[in-house]
Amino acid sequence: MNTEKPITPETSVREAILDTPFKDNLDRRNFNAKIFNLVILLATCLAMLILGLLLWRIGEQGLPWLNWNFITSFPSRMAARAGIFSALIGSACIIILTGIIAVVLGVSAAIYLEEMSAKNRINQLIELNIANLAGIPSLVYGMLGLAVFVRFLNFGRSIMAAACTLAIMILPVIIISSREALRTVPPSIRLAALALGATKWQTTWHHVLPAAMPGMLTGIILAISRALGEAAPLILVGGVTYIAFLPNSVYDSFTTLPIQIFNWAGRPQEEFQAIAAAGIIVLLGLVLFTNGIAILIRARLEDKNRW
Amino acid sequence: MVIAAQDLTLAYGDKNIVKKVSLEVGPRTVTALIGPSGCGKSTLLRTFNRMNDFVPSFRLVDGKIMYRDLNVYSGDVDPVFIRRRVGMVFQKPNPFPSSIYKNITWGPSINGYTGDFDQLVESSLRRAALWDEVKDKLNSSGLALSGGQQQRLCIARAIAMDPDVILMDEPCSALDPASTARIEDLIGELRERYTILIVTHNMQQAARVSEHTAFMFQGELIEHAVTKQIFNAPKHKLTEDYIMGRFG
Repeated sequence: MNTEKPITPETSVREAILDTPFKDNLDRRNFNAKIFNLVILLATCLAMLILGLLLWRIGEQGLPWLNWNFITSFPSRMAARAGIFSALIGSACIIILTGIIAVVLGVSAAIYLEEMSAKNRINQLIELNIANLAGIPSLVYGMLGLAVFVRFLNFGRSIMAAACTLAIMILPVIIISSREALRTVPPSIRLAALALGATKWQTTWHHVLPAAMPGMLTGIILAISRALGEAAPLILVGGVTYIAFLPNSVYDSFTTLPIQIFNWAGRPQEEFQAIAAAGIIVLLGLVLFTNGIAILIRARLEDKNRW
Repeated sequence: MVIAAQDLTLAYGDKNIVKKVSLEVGPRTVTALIGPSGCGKSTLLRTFNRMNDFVPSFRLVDGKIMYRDLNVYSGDVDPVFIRRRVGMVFQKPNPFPSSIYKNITWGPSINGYTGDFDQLVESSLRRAALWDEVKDKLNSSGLALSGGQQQRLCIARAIAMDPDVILMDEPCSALDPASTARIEDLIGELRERYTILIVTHNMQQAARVSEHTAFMFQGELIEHAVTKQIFNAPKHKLTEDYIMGRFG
C-alpha cells in the first residue's frame, strides 16, 4: 500500500516485495499448511487403521463359520447348526418398515417446519426440542416403545412395535438433516417457481424437494444405518432370540441381527463367539447393501438436478 | 511487460478453450478482454493468477503465463505468492460474511501486514470510492451493503493487498447502471497505480474504461490493439462484425 518505489519491469518481483510493509512469511505459512495436511492425513489413516483392525479381527473369527447354511438356518442350541435366517429376515422387515415410517414422518415434518410454518417462538421451541430428542439414549426410546406401542396401542412384542420404536428413535436425526438440506436450496429456485404462479405446495413438491433430496438422503442413510445396528431398544420392546419361523404379518414376534449377535456373543462357548462374529459380517453386509442402494439413488438424483 | 500469455493453449478435459493465445500487458494500463460468450476470455483471465487450479478438469496444454520475471505455471512458483500480487474481482460481489473492516484487513493480516490497519482500511476504502458511504459503519456486515457497494468493497479488499495487477471478471454484470458508472470511474482512477485486466460483455464499457482491447473468438485472439483503433478501425472483419453487433 505504501510502496514509494515503483516496481519497474526490470526488478524481480521477489525483490520488489521486500520493500513493502507486508512480511508475508510464505515459507512459514506453507510449512504450516504442510503440517496441517499431515495431521488430517494421519487422522484419516488412524481412523481407517482402527476400522481395518476391527474388520480384520471379525473376519478372522467369523469368516470360517460364514456359509450359505449359516445364512439360511434358524438359530439352534448347537453352534455348528445355528443360523441367522430369522434374524436376517427380521432385520430386513423391520428396517423397511422403519424406513417408510421415519422418512414419511420426518421429511413431512421438516417440510412443514422449514417451508410452511411461520418462523416464530413456537417453531424455535420445537426446533430446540427436536435437537434435544436426538441426544436421548436409545434405551429410553425402547422404554417408550414398550409403554406406547407394545402395551397402549396393543401391537404386542411385534415387528410393528419394533419398527415404530426405531422410527421414533431416528426421527429427530432425519428431521434435522432434512431441514438442513432444504435450507441449502437457493431461494432463487423458490422465487422462480412462485413467480410462475405456482402455489407454495407446488413449488415445494416440484422444485424444492427434488433439489433437497440428495442432501436429505445422506441424513436418512446415516439414520437408517443406526437403526439397523440397534439392539438395546429392541430388547426392551421384546425381541426374542430363539425364533424358528418366518413372520407372517407385522404383528408376529421377531428377532434381529443385533439381538442375535448380542445373545451369541454373551455365551461362554467359543463357537458361539465365532458365529457372533459371522453374524456381524452378515449385519455389515446388510448395512452396506442398504447404504449402497441409497447412495445409488442419491447419485442419480444429483446427476439429474445440478445448478 | 507486467503480465503476458505466450502461445497459450488451455483446455477443460479434452476440449481446448483457449488456442495459441499470445497477449502482453504493460504496466499501469487497463486492458479489456471482449468477445462472445464461451470465447475463452474468462478462462484466460483466471489463468493469470492460477484461479483455474480449482477447476478439476482444467489443463494447461501448451505455452506459458509470465508475471514479470516469474513463469506462473512453473513448479517453483508458489501460486499463493502469485495471487497475493495478482488480485481478482469476481463477477458477483462476494464479500466475506463479516464486518466491512474485517473484509479489508483479513487479506493483509494473513499476509503479515506490519503497517497500521486503521489507516489501511481508510485508504483502501477511499481508493475504492466507498469511504464516505461506510465510514460510520465499519463494524457492520459487508453483506448489508447494496450490490454496487459490495462490489466496491471487493475492489477495496483487493487493493488493500497492494497488488500489482487486478483481474476483473465482468465486475459490473450484476450491477445497475449507476453502480456500473461508479465502478467504471473507479477503474479510471485505479489505472494510475495498477495494471488492470477486465473481462466485459459490454462493448461500450470496454470503449469507456480501457486503453487496450483484445478481441477473442472461439478461443483465439483475433485482434489486440489500442482501444480506439479496435473500435474505429478494426483490422479484422470478425472484430468489426462483433463490435457492430452483427453477432455475439
